[in-house]
Amino acid sequence: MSPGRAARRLGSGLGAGSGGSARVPPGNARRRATLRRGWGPPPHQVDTSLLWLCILEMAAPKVAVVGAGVIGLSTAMCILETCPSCSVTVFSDQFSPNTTSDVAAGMLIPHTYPGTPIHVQKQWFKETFTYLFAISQSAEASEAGIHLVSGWQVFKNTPKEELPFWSDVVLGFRPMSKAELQKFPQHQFGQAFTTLKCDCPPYLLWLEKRLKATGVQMYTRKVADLWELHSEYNVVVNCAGIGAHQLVGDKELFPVRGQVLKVHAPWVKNFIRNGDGLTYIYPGIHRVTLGGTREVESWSLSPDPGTTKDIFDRCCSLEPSLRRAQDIKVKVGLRPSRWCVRLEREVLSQGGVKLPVVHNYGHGAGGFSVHRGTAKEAACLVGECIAALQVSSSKAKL
Amino acid sequence: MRVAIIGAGVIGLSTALCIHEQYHSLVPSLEMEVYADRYTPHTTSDGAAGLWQPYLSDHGNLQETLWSKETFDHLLRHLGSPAAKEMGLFLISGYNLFTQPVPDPSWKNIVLGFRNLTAKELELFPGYSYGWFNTALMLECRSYLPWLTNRLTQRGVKFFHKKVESFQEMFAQGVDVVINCTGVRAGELQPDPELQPGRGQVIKVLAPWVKHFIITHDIKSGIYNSPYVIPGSEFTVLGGIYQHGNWNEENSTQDHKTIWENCCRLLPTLQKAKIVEEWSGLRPARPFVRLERETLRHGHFQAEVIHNYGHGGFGITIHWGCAMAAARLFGSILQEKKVAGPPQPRL
Repeated sequence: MSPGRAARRLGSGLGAGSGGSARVPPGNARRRATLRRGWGPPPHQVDTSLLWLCILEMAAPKVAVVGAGVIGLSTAMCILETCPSCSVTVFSDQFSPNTTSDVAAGMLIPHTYPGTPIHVQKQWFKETFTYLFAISQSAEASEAGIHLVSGWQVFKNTPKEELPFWSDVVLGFRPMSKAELQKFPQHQFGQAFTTLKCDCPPYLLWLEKRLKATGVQMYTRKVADLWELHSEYNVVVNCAGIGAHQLVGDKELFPVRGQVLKVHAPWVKNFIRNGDGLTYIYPGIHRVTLGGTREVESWSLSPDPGTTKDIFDRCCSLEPSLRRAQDIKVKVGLRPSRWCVRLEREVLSQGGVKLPVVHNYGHGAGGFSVHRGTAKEAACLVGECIAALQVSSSKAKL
Repeated sequence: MRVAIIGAGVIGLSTALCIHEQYHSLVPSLEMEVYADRYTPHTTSDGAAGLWQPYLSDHGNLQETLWSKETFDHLLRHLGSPAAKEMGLFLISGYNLFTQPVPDPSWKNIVLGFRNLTAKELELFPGYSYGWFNTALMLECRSYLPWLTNRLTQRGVKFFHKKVESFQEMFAQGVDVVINCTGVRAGELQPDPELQPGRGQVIKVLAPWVKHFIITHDIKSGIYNSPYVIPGSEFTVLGGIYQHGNWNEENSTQDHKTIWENCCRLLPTLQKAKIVEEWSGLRPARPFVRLERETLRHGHFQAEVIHNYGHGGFGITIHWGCAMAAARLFGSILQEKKVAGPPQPRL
C-alpha cells in the first residue's frame, strides 16, 4: 500500500465520518476526535471485532516494534494476539540479557505515575497481574520465570496512605502484626502481601521464544530514526524505553539510574521492601536482587563501588543473614521515567508522507507491573492505525 | 560425672548442647559423650524438610505446645545472628489447605502473621476450600546437625560411632547419667509398645521458583498422608506419606508415584522440576513424647536415665523445648546427688 493513498485520509482515524464506512457505528466519531495524551479509554471499550473486519481486508499488515525489553516484546505479543494476520518484526540494539528489563527485579508492585489517572493504572496492573497469575500456576511457570512471592513492605513512620490503590489486586494484603514488626526494629508500620515476580532473563527469553514460534523476526539493529522503517512497515511501535529520549527527542523522558546487586542467597524466601522504595530485597529463582538507588538524570551505566557497599549495608540491616550472601554481581539500569506513560498514537509526517506510530514507553520504575496492560492498549492502538490505513486505502479505491 | 547421650539426631545433639551449656560450669567434672550408630546425614532428622509446624491439634498435650513455642521463640531470636545461615535457619511463608473449615490450630499465635486464606488465594488450589497463611521457620538438619556437632566438639564433647545394646552397657562403663534420645528404635533398649514407626517417604527436587510451603490436609487420611511441598535452601521436598507400623526404610515405587502425582496436581509447575533424590524414614511416633526420668537399680547401684524420644513428625518443631526440659531433669538429678552425699558405689 503506498503512503500516498494513506495520506489523503490523514487524521481520519477510526470511523472517519465518511459515507463509505458503513461498518462504523456513529458513536465512534466522538472517540476519533480525541487525541490521546498518555492514556485512553480502556482497551475493552474499543470495538475490536470491528477492527478485525477492517484488518482482514488488508493483506498482512506489517508492523515494526522498536525495543526488545519487557514492553517491546509484550507489545509484539499482544499485537499478534489481536491481529494474527499481522506480520510483526522486532528491532532493538539490545536483547536479553542486556536490556534495562534484565536489570530490574520484575516485582509486581506498581509505581504511581503522577500524570495517569489511578483507575487506569489500576486497570493496567490488574490485567498484568491476572495474566501472569495464570502463567505462574501452569507448567510453563518455571520456563517463563514467573512465581509467587510473599513478604513485607515496612515503613519507619506510618505512611499517609495506608492502603495503596493496588492493595486489592495483590493477594492477602493486610497490615503487619506487632510480632512481625519486631523483626524490623526501626520500623513502626508495615504491610504484608503476596505478589508475583517476573524473573529476567527467563521471562524475556520465553516471550522471544513464543514470538519466534509464530514467525516474528528479530533484528539486532539500532534504529536511529523511526523513518528508517517507513518504506517497509505500515505501522511502527515505539517501545524504545529510555532510548526514546534520543529516538523521538522526548524531553519529558528522563533516566532514573538504579544500581542493584544480584546475589546468591537461596535461603531468602520472602521479599522485604522499605516503603520509600529505595531499599529492597527481592528473591528470584536463582538470585536475590538487592537494591537500590534512584538517581534522577544520571545517565551512567557504570557500577559505583561506594553505592554497592551502601546498598549491601542497607539490605543487611533489613535482613542480617544477607551478610553471608555469595557471588555478588552488580548491575545498573536507567529507568525510562516520565510524568505519565506515553501510550498514544501519532502520525508522523515528512514531505507529504505519513507514518503511523504508536508510542508505548516511559514506564519508569513500574514497567513490569503494568507491562501487559499497556501492551494490550498499544495493540489496540495499532489496530486502530491499521484500520485507519485500510479505510483510507479503500476510500482511495472508490 | 559422666553423661552419655545415646542418639545423634536433632533430639540427641540439642539435648547434649543444652545440658552442657547450662551445667558444665556448675559441674567441673562433667564429661559428656555421644553414642550413635548413625550420624548426620544418615539420621531420621536429616530426611525431614525442616519446617517448624506442630500437628493440627495437640490432643490436649498442652505441654507439647509449650515446648514447640519455646523452640520457635528460641530459633526466632537466632534469626538475626550471624550463625543463622550456618544453622540452616530461615523464615518461610506458606499455606495450609483443607477441604472444609477447621478450628484454628494451637500454634496460631506462635507463628507470624497467621490468617485465613482469601477467596482469591484459594483459587490457587482447586479442590481446597479453606486454609491458612502464616510465616514460620525452616531449620534444615543437614546444616543444623553439623552446627550442633561443631558447638559440642568445641566444648570437648566426645563422639563415638557405636550401637549401644543396653543401658547396663553404659553404666558398666562408669556412666552416671544416660540421656536416651534413640528415636524410633528406643524399643530396642527398653520395650515401649506405644512407640511405633510412622514411615514417611519424600522426593527431593530442584524447583527454586517455589518460595512457599504448601501443606494439604485430609482429615480422613490423617496427618502427612496428604501431599505437601516444602522448599528448602537448595532442594524442595515433596511428601505426603505416613504409614503407621511400617518399619521398611526402603523407597517404595508406589509411594513415589503417589507423592509425585499428588504434588504435581497440587502445584502443576512441579512437572518441570528435576528429581534429585528419594528418601524414606521412620518418624518415632508416640501418643505423646516420652520425656521423663527413670532410676534404674541393679543391686547396689543406681543409675539415672532421662528419656527424650517419641517426637513423631514434629521433632525439629519441638526439639529445643524438650532439650530444656531434659536439662531441668538433669538439674534435679544433680540436686539429688548433692543431697544424697558422695556418689554410690558402682559395680
